[in-house]
Amino acid sequence: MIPAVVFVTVMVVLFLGTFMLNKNTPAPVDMRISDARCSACSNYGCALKQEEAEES
Amino acid sequence: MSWTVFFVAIFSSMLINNVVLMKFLGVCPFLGVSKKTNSALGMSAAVMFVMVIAAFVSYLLYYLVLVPLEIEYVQTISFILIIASLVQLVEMIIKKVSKKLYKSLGVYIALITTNCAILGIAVENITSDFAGQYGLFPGLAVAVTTAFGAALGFGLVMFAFSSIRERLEGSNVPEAWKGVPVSLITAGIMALAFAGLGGIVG
Repeated sequence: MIPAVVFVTVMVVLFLGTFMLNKNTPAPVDMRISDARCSACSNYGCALKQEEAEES
Repeated sequence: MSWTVFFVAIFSSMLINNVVLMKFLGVCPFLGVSKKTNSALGMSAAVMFVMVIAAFVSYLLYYLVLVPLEIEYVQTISFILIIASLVQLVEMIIKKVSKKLYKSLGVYIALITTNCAILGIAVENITSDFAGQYGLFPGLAVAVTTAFGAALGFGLVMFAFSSIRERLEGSNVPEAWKGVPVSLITAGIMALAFAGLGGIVG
């Protein structure tokens, strides 16, 4: 049981680490993804979709 | 182990056991990101990228960490976390390395975290017991080849389905069938076509 808990904790920390690193990595300049403002994607959890909904 | 094993692995996972139309995994992006061919191709490329890496990492994680520690029961949660971490890592690397690749895959990379096809293939590589059949590292090669074939199959059906949907946009479809109904009927007919390939490889 203890190895499992330790292992899962390590995995969660690994995920949080990569998430924070990715969040702090700036996207290339002029790479604001305007392609997402299309009807192709149905992911309404996406921040761009939410922005789009607020604008409209 | 001959080359036939790899050929069968690719052919089988791409066409006969197609991840979308035969196993019904990854149906969300199949329906959601297939309105335009460009989006479908972008999503397919991103899935291929992550699926192969996830198969490689999850296989090694299972046999080199989970089995020796006798904690195989945390397989699913660890694979989910590995895939989520990989997606973050891949996105970060793409941001740094290639502006062009980020432009074409950037939107889709994040969506892959919730693509069950990736997890499905990673789990199936373990349940297929490639390590028991071929040995640990030859089994790894077969697992990665299977994942590559599955990703090719995903790309193939995404491309075909998005092309059909684009043509349906301009065609004379009965009012009640427009949009989702005709898309689902199309997907069903495509699944029947793929089912016809069953039995080619024993």
